[in-house]
Amino acid sequence: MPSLKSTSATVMSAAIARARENAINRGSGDADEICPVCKSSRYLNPNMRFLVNPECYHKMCESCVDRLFSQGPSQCPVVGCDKILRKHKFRKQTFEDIKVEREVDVRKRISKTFNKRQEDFPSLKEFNDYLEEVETVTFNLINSLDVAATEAKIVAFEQSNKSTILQNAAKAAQEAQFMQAQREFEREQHRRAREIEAEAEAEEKRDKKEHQANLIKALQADDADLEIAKVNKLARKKSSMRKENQERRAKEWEAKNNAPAFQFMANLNRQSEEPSKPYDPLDGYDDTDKYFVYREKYENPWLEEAANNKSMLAGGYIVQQYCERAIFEAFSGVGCFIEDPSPSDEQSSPSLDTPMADAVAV
Amino acid sequence: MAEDQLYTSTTQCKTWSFGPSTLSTIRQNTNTAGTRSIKRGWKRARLEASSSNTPYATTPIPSSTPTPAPTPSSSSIIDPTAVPDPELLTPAEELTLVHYYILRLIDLSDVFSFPSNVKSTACVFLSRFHLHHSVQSYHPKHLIPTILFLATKTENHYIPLSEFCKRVPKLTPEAVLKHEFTVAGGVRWDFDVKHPLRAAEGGIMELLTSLSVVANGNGGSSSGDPGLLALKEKLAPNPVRRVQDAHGRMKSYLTKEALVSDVYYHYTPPQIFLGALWLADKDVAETYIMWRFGENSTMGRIPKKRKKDKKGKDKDKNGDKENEVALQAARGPPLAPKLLSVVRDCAEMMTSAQAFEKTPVEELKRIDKKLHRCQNPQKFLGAGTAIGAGSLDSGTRKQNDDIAIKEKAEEKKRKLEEDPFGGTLPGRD
Repeated sequence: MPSLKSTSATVMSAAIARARENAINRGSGDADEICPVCKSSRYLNPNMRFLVNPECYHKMCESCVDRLFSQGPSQCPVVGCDKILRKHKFRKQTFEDIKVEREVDVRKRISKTFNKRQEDFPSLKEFNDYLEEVETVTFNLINSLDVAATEAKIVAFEQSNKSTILQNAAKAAQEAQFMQAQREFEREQHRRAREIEAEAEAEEKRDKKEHQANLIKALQADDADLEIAKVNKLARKKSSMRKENQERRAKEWEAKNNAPAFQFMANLNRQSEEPSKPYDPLDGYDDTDKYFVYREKYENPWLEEAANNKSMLAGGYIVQQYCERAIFEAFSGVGCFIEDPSPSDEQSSPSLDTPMADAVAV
Repeated sequence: MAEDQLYTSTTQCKTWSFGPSTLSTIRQNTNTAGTRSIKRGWKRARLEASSSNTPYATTPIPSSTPTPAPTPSSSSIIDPTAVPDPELLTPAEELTLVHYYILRLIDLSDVFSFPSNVKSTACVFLSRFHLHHSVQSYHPKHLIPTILFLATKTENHYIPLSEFCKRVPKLTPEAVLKHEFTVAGGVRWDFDVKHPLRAAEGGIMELLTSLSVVANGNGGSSSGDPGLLALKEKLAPNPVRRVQDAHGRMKSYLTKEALVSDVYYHYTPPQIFLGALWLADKDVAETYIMWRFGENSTMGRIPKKRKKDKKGKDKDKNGDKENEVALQAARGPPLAPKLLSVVRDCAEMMTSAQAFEKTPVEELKRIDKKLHRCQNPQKFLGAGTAIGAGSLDSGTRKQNDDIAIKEKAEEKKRKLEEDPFGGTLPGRD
């Protein structure tokens, strides 16, 4: 009887699991869902699964796929779609929205080709420009804009960057492997720690039991008090030893934890960067004057008047400031020579924001 | 370094300084754009005139105007296709006109007796405006009051508009304000103009002060500054008097020749000031340059150092010499040779500007007539009859002119709306 019971239980649990799976497969759980190819509805066939092919993303039920594509590749049965589909390319739809499904596929494909990293670029700006371009390509593919040109672009990029793509892919694989190893290592360590703790606990328990047994034995002896004292002393000694052991183990454990799992990992995080220079808010600008030195006082009869005129001074007029400004302007720009930009200069620096930028010789 | 660096960061240096060939290219481009718009205007007017034999029927005239009904039926209508295209202005002719109106602008400013910085700013605004806007699109005579009014505001010498209009006959506040936005956009909103006026004051101040220091013989600098001594010798017997005389003459150059010529585009303010000084008194300018920017120029530094040395004489001379060498290296080669030639060129350019004042009146009249024909195609195509028959009173004619101006302004406005900061500068790409 018990064996029968167990089989029925397994049957039950299997049925529940299948039902759950079906519910998941159904996605939205729409009971009236109809296969667009054979028009059979889920109402009649609750186990119906829908598949898509990333060639054209037309949805059809599993039985249609079996029926149409078992004899090898053939045309998509949807009217107006002339894509040739293969059976092994059919898969379950991950996302409910077919657009999202397609976008994810496109992104997967693009990321395989455009796998450059930031280290490959001299500056963040160039890396960002690259990302921008990649995003443009992706966007074009997703929205079917300019597909031919975009595909040509991708192929050209692939051709010219074959080696770097391979290198980066290998690098990424290596990193993934390393991450995996790291995770495994950590899990193993946790397990070991748990084991050690359990061991210590068991030892403690055993000692306690032994101590109790010893106590009972001591009580049976002739001079019970003496024996009890002896047993207690032994127990204390043992417990202190155990504690010491535990501490030592904990220390070892900690040391092991802190040490990098692999030597190269320790080097990985260390950056061989030059010490950055102190921040200069003026960006090297220097306010020492090149052509003159301010004097305390300047000769100007007209200014004498202003300096003695109370009504002007009361208004906040500072003669000294006028002098400084006038002297500064007398020399500001005296060393700039405005010339026509020579054609060679223009070629060498095409990104001028002003036509003057190269024409001023300071 | 600071002085030159600061000047190179100004808009005057960045967007309003050009070499000679760049400048002429820009003018050529502006002229081309202007002629194109004139040609377009004529083509449109011709179409309008030929599509209906009644040229004024198409132009929307308010019904209240006393247009005589029989005008269209007049038999002496000029065939619009027979009228030849107008002769267009060349860049040189445009420039002549601009120079003439800059001189008029100076006169207008003198009527108000505005300070020289207002006058200078107004002239520079007019010149800059017509650098990128053809005279054929905007007649300078309409812009002059607006520009002068704008200059009073940017130079912090504001007078109320009603007051401003009272001083000029037949000037209305509306006429002044009508072009204000156009002008402000035309100078690219770069209202701050670096004039050589204050630079000139500063330079003369420095010169006079140094001379007086030498004359008093204090600071022991009499032996320290050979450039200054040479300057004093050259200007003997009365150097101070001579500098003061030169100062007065120089000012007149700065407020006339410098404004009419292109020196603001080609030279920096100190260079223009030196150019004017050169014209006023060649010796003063030459010795000044040699003193400040010559081979062993001290730039006013050495006297100070000497004083320091006197305080601590135990300082070893070797270190001092090293210091000097480092200073010399930091300064780089002396500017004087290059500066001398630049200042000479600048002075020559200002002298040649004196010729603009002598442009014969007939020449100006001829250009203006051409411009009038270019700007008013209706008059020469269809309205010729009206003018000849005298059937249109002057009021209606004026209205038609107003309509044309309005149309032009609207087109301009539309263009401005498309691009809030105006198109790219023609010289920029």
